[in-house]
Amino acid sequence: MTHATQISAQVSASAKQLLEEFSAVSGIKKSRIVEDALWFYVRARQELPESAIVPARLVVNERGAAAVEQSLTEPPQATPALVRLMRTLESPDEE
Amino acid sequence: MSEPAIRRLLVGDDTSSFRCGDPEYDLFLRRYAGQNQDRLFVGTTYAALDGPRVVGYVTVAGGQIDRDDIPGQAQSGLPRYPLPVLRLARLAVDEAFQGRGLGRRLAAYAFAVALQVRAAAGCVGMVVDALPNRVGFCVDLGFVEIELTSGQSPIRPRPVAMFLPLVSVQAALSSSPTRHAASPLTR
Repeated sequence: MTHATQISAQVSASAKQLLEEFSAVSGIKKSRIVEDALWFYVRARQELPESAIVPARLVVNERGAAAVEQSLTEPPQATPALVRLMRTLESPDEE
Repeated sequence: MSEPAIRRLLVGDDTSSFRCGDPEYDLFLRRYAGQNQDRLFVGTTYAALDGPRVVGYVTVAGGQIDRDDIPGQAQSGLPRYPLPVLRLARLAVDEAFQGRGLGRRLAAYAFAVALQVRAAAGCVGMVVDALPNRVGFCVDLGFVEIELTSGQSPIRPRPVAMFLPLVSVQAALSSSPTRHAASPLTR
């Protein structure tokens, strides 16, 4: 890398862990991963408008985490609307 | 008129005349859905077809739910590892086919895909990005709102992220007289 310079950034603990684990497994230096990831990201954003991208990682806050946890530990019973919706899979053309 | 068949979007499907009333959704289908699916592999679109013509679509993408790990914040009982989910990112129906239940069929199809993903690779739930006027519909299905600190859908008006565990979807399917959950990915 020529004319290298240094940056610092605050990231989530899970992002830092991901970087460290990937670096350890792949043997690629963390600085190289960050630089490559940045180039890939910018190139992807140049090809696709923001509205066409579906973020893969959803980070929930405390209330969001509680809502997900509640849904998983005590799943709501299937509502009548959900049962009716799933029955639409049974139209003759679906068979 | 027979019901439009639903299957994975293919190169050559006619998307040129699709009009759902929201130009952004029309443009996404025509220009980006195929690219996202076949070149970038970041999402899959299932199309409802009237002959060669796409008259409705639903786009899903794999995702994960992470806890916000801001230091000092009270931690929930969620595991520290990411929870795999399927995200229902877009659903639209051509104006000529609206009001016939096609949107419901596309949603059910996406739910069935999620059950297949659960069996094949693991998936705990569906996340929908519900437009403000569709939040009530999603609540009726059992979805709950989840507050995000990042990962919000970029579409406008700003949608509400909502979560439904697949256990509930499976229960709904199991309560039906016959079951077709295997159909989406095996056809």
